[in-house]
Amino acid sequence: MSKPFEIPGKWEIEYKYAAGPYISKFLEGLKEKKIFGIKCNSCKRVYVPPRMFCERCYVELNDWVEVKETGTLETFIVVYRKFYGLPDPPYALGLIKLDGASESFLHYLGEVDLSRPEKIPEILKQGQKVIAIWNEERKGSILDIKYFKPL
Amino acid sequence: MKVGIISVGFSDFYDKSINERKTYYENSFIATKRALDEIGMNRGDVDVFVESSIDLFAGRLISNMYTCTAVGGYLKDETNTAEDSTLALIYAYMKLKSGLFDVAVVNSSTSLDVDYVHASTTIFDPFIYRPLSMNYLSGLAIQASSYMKSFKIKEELAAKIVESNTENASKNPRAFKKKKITVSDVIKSEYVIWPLRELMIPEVVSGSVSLVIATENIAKRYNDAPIWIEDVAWFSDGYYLGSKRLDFLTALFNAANKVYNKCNIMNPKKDIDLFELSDVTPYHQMMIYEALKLTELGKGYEIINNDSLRINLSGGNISTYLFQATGLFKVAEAFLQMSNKAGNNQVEKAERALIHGFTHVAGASTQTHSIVLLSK
Repeated sequence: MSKPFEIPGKWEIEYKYAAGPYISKFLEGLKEKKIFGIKCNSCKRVYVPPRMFCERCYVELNDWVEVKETGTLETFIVVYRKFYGLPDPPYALGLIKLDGASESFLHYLGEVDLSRPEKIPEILKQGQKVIAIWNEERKGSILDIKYFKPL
Repeated sequence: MKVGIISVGFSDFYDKSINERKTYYENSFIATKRALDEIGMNRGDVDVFVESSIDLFAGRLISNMYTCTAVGGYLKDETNTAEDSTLALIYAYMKLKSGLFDVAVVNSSTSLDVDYVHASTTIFDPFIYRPLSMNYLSGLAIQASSYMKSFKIKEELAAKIVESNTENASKNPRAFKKKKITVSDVIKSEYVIWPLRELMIPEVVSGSVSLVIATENIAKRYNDAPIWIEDVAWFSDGYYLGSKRLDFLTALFNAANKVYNKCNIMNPKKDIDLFELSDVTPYHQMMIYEALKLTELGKGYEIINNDSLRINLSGGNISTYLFQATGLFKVAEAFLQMSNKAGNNQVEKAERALIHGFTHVAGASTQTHSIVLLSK
């Protein structure tokens, strides 16, 4: 029997994702260097990014709050492998509890030396204070914040 | 009315080194035909077919358009779940428990037609997590990092879990990778995403697993000693990684509580003989121990796999990672142990088994966990 074929393929499908009113307002805020969250008046959680409903209390959320551009690093990872379609390594991502929020917010971590993986626990620490570094040109994207850097 | 597993079938498993690959639905046919032939059943005897496949990884929308007939479901009651295959088993079980049907085939196949890590970037929302370069490994790494930090877990403890799982694989004739990985091998391997090292991350292999399940009277006609599905449970957590607990598997804890309460399991370590757990990373295996109440919070490293507590006799995901088909593989391994048909790695006293299914795609956000409890 001859060797079975392997046929190359690729999906290129264009989407225009509706961001919805909550994420839209959040992204608009980023243009103005404002980070909006939303508060659940039932459980008092402050969610960033904002969302229409509290998944725990199952109530609609309408109490908008502006949280700070500073926060506390809660968890982090550092990518050392080149993955197809993703940035060149190394790069770090952290979950950050922004001041004024109760839930954590994911973003890149910058201005940290990631060259030696074995040193990561000394360089990045849970509880470290961080601050957002903004792009000069902002267009209503999560990437309007370039990254968070340790204070 | 009881529902039991009466037969299992596997296709061959292979990795990327094999060029002469079959399609995922050809593997579904092979695994299902083997499971049916084993007990002398044909597709006409089957009422219900449930598959587990994920369209994105199969590279075809509605991927069960192909598996539907490959598993024997031509002009029959057939459906698909894009979840870990333990959920396909659970859906089939519920259909039989409803009293409307008597026999079901459950199947899942994994192909190697795509780079899973690359494709997994589409799991995440297009507004926040996707632009931040998330893939399923980074989701798992965030949980592992959180767990390590919360309980001050050294990576050697995680490496010991890899060693234990691969030692089991070395004895399991059906494990795909049979080479034992030592603690030292793990620690010497490179970081892929800190804190996950290369040898902590299971590599996807291709293959298919099928089960045949039946209601009590029919089951006994085809198998003298069916393995009964004693109970099932599954729970889903929220999506956002930042809005839930990352160092504890709450959804699995809830599923375990539901099963333990219903089946009067007071001490799971004593009351259950085998555990097949979804070691997507060794840190997750420690978290699974804690969610299943095998040990206290943060003490997952204390659990030692031995004759009195048998964990992942199959060799775990690290040895045979069939992505969404992994759950059915683990159920099939427990079935063979409990049926005294495991071969080289057969253990004594395998009366009751707990299988943990982790929905690998939703698992990037540690979302859905399921439990299947089997008994003789």
